[in-house]
Amino acid sequence: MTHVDRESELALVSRLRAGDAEAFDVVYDHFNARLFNFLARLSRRRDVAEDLLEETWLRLVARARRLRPDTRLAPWLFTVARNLYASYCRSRLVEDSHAAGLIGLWPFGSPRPTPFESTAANETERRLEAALAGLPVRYREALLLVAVEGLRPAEAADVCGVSSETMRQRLSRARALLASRMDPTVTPAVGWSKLARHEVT
Amino acid sequence: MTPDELRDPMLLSLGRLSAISPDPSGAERVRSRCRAELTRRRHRAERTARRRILTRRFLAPAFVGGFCLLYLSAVVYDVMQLYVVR
Repeated sequence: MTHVDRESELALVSRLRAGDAEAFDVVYDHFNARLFNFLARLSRRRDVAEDLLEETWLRLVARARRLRPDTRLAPWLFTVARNLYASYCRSRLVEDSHAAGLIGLWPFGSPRPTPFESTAANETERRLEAALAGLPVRYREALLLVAVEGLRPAEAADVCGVSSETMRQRLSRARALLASRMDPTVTPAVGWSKLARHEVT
Repeated sequence: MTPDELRDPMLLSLGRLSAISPDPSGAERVRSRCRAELTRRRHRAERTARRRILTRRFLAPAFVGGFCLLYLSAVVYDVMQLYVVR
């Protein structure tokens, strides 16, 4: 948890394990908006984010009694949310970059703006949102977890089920890719164009 | 990614992006649903625990006690048979 110390977090986990609804409220208030923003930026769709968010909370409730006493709530919740999104992609055969590529082929088409682009405070923010939304999922999720949600790279690695070294590389590549998309005059490092086209979930 | 890269202005600006909120009525509905589910599960767990306590404290001793009584009765019966026959 970012703003709750570890001791309070352990106490909350203990209360959740006992089925305490008040503890659930505390956790819900702390994470609901963060999880929603994470899912909305990951899926780029508000309706999908809301469905997955509900499912994430129901998973917590269903598994509350079996939580380990030393569970870290932020990584646990983001792992569930991320895995639900991955399942959603598999079930719907949604592959973001392929879809974006197909939309790009449409003569009048450009990708639909994400919910964030329309509410961006200024042009820079709108461009940043658009650049973020255009990243392949593996890079987008890495940036969302570390730069937006404030998880440590090691925690983000656990969430994504990869090693710390892989996460470090992903973050580095994601940062370079984002920079190149923000500033088209910057040429990405060798191999970047290939990476940009390479979608992964 | 090095700690320096983590302090990159572009990454820092990602952390300051505007947030959007989930639909408030939907959020309340989810909260209520989860609270109800959590409470239901807690009650079910409590019932299971009570049943387990009942089994451990009363049913198991009663079963063992009954078995002992039966065994003792059989022994007494056998002894009496032995003496009555003589």
